[in-house]
Amino acid sequence: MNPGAGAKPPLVAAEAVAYRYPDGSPALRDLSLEVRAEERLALLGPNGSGKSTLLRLLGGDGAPGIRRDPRVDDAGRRWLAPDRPALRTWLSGRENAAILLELHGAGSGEARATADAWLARFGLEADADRPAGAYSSGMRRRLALATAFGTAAPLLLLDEPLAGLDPGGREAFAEALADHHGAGGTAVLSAHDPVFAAAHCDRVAFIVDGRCAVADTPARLLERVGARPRVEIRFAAGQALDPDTLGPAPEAVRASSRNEGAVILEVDDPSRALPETLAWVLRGGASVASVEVREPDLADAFATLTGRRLEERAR
Amino acid sequence: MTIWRLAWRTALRRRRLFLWNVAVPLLLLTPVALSAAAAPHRVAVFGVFIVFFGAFGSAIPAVRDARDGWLDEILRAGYSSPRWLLERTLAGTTIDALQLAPAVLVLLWSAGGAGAGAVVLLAVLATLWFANLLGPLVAAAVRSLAEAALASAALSLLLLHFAGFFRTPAPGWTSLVAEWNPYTPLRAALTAGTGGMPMDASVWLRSLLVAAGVTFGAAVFASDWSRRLRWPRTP
Repeated sequence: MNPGAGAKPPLVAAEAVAYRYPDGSPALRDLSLEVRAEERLALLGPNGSGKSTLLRLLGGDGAPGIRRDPRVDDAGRRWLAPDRPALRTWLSGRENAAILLELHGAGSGEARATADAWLARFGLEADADRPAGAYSSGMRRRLALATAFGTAAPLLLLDEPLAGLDPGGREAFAEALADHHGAGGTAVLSAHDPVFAAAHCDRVAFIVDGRCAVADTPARLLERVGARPRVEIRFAAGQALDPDTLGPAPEAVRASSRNEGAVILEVDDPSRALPETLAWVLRGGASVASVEVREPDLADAFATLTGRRLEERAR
Repeated sequence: MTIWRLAWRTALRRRRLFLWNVAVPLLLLTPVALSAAAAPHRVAVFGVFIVFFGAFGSAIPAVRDARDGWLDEILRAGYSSPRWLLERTLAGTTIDALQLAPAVLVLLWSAGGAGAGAVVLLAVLATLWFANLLGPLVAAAVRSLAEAALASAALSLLLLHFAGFFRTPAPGWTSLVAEWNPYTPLRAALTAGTGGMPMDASVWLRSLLVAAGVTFGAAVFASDWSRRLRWPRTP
């Protein structure tokens, strides 16, 4: 890990943490990661890589290898929003939020007022009195996030906060995250969206197979993979090609990799490289479904630095 | 008292279920109360129903709360395990007592045992407290709703048997066990309420000591039990 210049001291740290599920399968293997005060840290990794387990350990009751600053050692100073929010389905959204805020230490009236304010910020004011059991998955996510931010806990641990959110929900979440950060809060979130992580987080950690492969700022992660544009050529279903089998690549192609159903080529100048690149690929005999030219993003950085794809299936 | 309020709010919000929980004991127990069955038989039926009502009604929601992650949320929010355990036991006891009250009143009225009303009320409350306390403990030892129901039934029947609901304890160790059984006051109170032998105040002493001891022990070990209940969702 690169501490970086001017880095704040860690608020929570995982030091060589290993954890096995009750069935004995490994979830985390020797994972080390620091969460610095007042940062927004995104955990990026494919399904089953250990992000949720790490969040639970960071927010839990003192697992071996987890070191917490006294400022967030008390359970009332942190909040974990799980990937599957648990709701009292018979109670309204407002009551669900208010009860959790009360459990977190707020008085009854204060909890209700805070719940109302945050439900409004997440666009749930009109549905606040409906039973939470009638909420859609996106509304449940909004409710869970409204409750999490309503706690004003200095350390927020948010598991898949973007799952099921529509653009309005994502915007509300991004604003709430920024406000929490502005108030000196620290947030760790797991996600599968590299664009959101790059835009709204101070650092990103790549989690693979229960380990932290790398953690750094989005800018530095992108620097490490180079700024060359990517040409992503997607093939018709069942016609994926391995670039290594196509013979020598044209000079314009600086590097190549493959994804499910696509090859990704790094080039210097897409407009000049595209014709010969396409011709090279088409020699393999596959039907091209689409061609996209884009700037590199954190998904490319993830692939380059970990040798794995963000969207690959859980092992 | 957030858990207490939550339990009441949930119970009152589910009005249909609440009314069913009043109606079913009435429908099942009224014929027994009004029948010509011998007092010990009526006492046994009421005893089994009251204990099962408390034990099932506590263990099954405890498993469900653990499975759904609700318990996890409560404890992660910083609420202490003993508070959670004691508040849910208190709420479960009072809600169960309210729902069972009409059926018990029918028994006392039909048997002309209104004079024993206060003792029966106290015994029902003490029994429900103990049965509600056992719920999370049973739930911590099982892994499914079906197992929770089975374990609650087995444990309850065993305790009822040793409290003398099904046969009078013979002198010796069974008699000793009955003296210390937390369900013995219920048997003695219901017997008094159905025109049987008046209840001896000394019946309370040992049984309540056991109930108090189990309550204290449960509060002390609540964090361990609640950790078991949170399996396997949480590290």
